Amino acid sequence: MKVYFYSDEGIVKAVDGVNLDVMKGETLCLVGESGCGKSTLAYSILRLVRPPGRIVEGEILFDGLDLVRIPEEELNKIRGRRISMIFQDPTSALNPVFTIGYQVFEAIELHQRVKGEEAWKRVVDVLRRVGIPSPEMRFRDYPHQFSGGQRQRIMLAIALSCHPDLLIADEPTTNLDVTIQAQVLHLIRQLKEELGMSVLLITHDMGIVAMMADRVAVMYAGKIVEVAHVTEVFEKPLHPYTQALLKSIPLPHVDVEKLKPIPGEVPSLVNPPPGCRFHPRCPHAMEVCKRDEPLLVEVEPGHQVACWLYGGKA
Amino acid sequence: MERVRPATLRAIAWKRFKRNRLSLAGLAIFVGLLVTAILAPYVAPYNPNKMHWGHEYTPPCSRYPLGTDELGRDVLSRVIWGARTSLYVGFMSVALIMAIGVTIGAVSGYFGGWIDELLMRITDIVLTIPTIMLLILIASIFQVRSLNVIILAISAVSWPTIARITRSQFLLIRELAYIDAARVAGLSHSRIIFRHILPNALPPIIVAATFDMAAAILMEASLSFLGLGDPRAVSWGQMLSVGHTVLMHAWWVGTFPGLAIFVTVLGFNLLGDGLREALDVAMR
Repeated sequence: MKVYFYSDEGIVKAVDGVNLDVMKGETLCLVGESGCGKSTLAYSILRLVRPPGRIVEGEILFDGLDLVRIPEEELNKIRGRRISMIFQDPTSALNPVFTIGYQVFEAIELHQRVKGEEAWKRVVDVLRRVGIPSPEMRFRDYPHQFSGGQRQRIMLAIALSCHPDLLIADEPTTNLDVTIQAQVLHLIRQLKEELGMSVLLITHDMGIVAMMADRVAVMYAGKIVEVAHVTEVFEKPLHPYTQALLKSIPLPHVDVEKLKPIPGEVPSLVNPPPGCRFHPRCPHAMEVCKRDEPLLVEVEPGHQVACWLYGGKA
Repeated sequence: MERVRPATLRAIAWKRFKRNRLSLAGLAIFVGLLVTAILAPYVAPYNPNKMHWGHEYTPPCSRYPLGTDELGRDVLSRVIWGARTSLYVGFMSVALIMAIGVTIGAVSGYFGGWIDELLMRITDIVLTIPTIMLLILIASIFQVRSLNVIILAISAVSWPTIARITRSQFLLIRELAYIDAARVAGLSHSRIIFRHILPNALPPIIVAATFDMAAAILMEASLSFLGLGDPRAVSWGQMLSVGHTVLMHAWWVGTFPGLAIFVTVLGFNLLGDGLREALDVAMR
């Protein structure tokens, strides 16, 4: 998968050769610093990337269908019904001119063959399910009459109203208070269990990863550098970037002094460094890293890494 | 259980609007005009086209409150019926302008790319041609100049402003997360354009439409003044055209229709200003 943005400064290679699978029923966390392309990757799954951005090559296989190539009408049958998405900012993700009930109603009416009274009953049901208090009264209210956490719950109600197979959550809790964050994450996990769906959760918060993930994919400068089971990532991170990322999280039993910020800057996606993209900031950088790009190889069952330290072939 | 309902957008806008006296004056003029136009047959003392032989150029008196014109027709009755013509032209033109402008602007702003490029270049071309020239051109092409031809001509020259405003609104709103959310939900493009973006884009379009209303009324008056209006319609512009030639000895023939045009255009402009202020604040 490659997604490029054609800007005035050159081609921004936001997603540059990524290969990723989400298994049925699992939660895959996609982590990485801001601007590493993780949101772009998520947006490309449902073809939401707008010009100047373009999916340059690659395929997105969902149940045997290539979402990159099927016609828009076909894709619209998958959007909302089989794959749903929730966004970073629940404040702007709800249309201010409609009641929240109507917005849930619209999704239900579109994808399920129910109309009128029956559909409204489902609206109330699904709002209750995501924990909106007294939904039978509140469905007539407008988005600005709800708090941020409640709005994200409403987004979840819309996303889950048609029992999708896959939920894409793009930093769903970044703009919420910590306590509300935990509630919303808990809700996502609980609904995932109930509905048996897969979740692709995008975050930069390793705490959320620890709480939610089955597997983790670490992204750096438009590329996936490590994929592994969540316990592996925390106990035995292989890629130097993953290791550095873990050392930079504040933990209660570790002194702030011992926190190690990752030196250097996130590389430009217009002109990424040659070879391994992490080499300018990598403590273990070798000659080969500057020259050739390591491929993502399986070093242990279920644990893939793209790094020359582990013999990554070019 | 009693619940406090936060003010809706409409309530906030109305509260803002009420506070400004000039806006209220604009609204009053608009409502007065509308009532006059609707009730014209009942409030006008005479048939506007009835010629009172031997009463040509009668100055304002108890029988003819605003005097009579060169054919002995009652000026007051003609001013009242003229409101009908003006409002009809205004409303129909704005309806057509909105239909063309909003569609072009919405498609342009929503889809972008070459469609946008093409539509905006056409818009630019229409904008560069002097309005009155194009208006006269269109009006002279048609052999029969009915009011509907005038409306068509006015709309043909006036849609670009609305198209541009709509486009800029669409460019802004289409980037918002709730439009992504609507696309994720699998809604069709037309549903997103008309149900999800348009209502949010409406406030500045409504304001512009109010000003277009004033402009359309003025354009109809100008065309009629130049003798390019509908000869069968009772039009303020046409009255003014006769009136200004006899201003020195029968000032009432041209003054009253002129005043009517002035007050009407002023009213719509005040209304537009008021709406702009009210909606601007309410949108925040």
